[in-house]
Amino acid sequence: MTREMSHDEAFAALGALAIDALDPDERAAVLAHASTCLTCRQELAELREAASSLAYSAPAVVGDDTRDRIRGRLLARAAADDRRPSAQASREHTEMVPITIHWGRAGLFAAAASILLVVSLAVLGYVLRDRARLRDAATVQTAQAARERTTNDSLRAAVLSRDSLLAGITGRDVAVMTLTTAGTKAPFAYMFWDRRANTWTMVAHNMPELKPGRTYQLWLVTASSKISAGTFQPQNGDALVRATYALPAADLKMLAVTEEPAGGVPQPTGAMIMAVTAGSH
Amino acid sequence: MQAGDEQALGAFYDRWFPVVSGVVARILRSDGDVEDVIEETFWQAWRQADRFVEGRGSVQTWLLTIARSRALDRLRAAKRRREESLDEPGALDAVSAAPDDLPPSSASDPSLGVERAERRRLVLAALADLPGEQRQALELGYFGGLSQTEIAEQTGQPLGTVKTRMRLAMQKLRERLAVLREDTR
Repeated sequence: MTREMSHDEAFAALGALAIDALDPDERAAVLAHASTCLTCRQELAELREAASSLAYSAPAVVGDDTRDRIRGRLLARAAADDRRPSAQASREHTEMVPITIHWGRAGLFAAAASILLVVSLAVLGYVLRDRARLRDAATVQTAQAARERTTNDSLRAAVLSRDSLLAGITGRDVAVMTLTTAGTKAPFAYMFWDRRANTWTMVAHNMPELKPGRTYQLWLVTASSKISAGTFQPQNGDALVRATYALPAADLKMLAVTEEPAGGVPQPTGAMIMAVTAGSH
Repeated sequence: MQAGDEQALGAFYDRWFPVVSGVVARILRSDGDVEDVIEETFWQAWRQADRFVEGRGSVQTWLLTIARSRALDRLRAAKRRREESLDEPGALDAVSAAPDDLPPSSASDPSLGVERAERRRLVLAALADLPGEQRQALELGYFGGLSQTEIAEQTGQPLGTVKTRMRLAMQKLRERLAVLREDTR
């Protein structure tokens, strides 16, 4: 018999249930509770979704030959599959038509009429099914076309962004500066300043993890002001920061990165993480 | 695919092959088994497509649950046959593997490769943010198919500790990957 589990107990075990890591008794108890608890069911659905994403952490190591071989076999099996959903529906429909004919003389005309009726119903059923199939196919095609349009737009945007990034770091008028600080495993960054296009592209590494509510902020320092070039949050210590700001080449005195409250500040207040003085390159 | 359209199966296969093959290959080691299980996963999806109900969960969760279950069944059967202990799948493999080890693109649509790479980057970043012992518990459970009790035995940690690690790991993972949730339907 399944033991009864409190909500708190069950809730705490949902993560393990989501990856099927509970022992059978505990699993049964959690499922029994979840069947009566909407909160737990919703939590479990979200945890299962997160758990399934773990599959993406596995590298895709199966080669194209194998992929194509499986694809070929799979489609051949599907084509030969008379138990596929559509074939099943078709067969079930045929089996559902009850034809019981008594061939007495008095029933001859009635039998003929019945056959006509059955044939008519079958034809009607076929036409309706065909119509539904066409409608479904049209819906799928429309959705597919919309997806493809979105994908194309996203790809185009990605390509443009990549082109812009490349131009920003390889252009003829690009100056490269290295932001550093002292210490082992210290953060460092390369700043690519395209003085013709006024773009600033910084690639940072070894950035320390930020505490919640904090952010890094990049500054362009001139003799008279400190100009914010944006905030950023590194991923695994790395960050790519891009900004556009027109600044006469002679005005730049320093580039600096400080740690600031989330959202950034108008003027630097926090500790300087790394910097480079203009003209030192 | 629910209507029994083979072309839809082909498109479905192209869309999901990379991630399905990845998880199956990670769980299993034998090439023959990997190929079999990938095929059977998609075959089962094809045969049971009409059982998938949108709204109860995403296609991703449904399909990857099939793939993982089939792979773990095969793994356990092989284990029983050989009476060998589980060769730990290497808790850090996934985390240390660079996104660059992905094949360049999907069969028919390069954008799928881009999307998959982005998902993979997010998942690896989420895993990398977990403390090592939490990540290990999660990966032994998900890729190794071990229960919490088995993980406790294998790692020599108290069961209560393993449960806590797994609970915290799953909570953090869910929070970090919430951004993906809307895209998996």
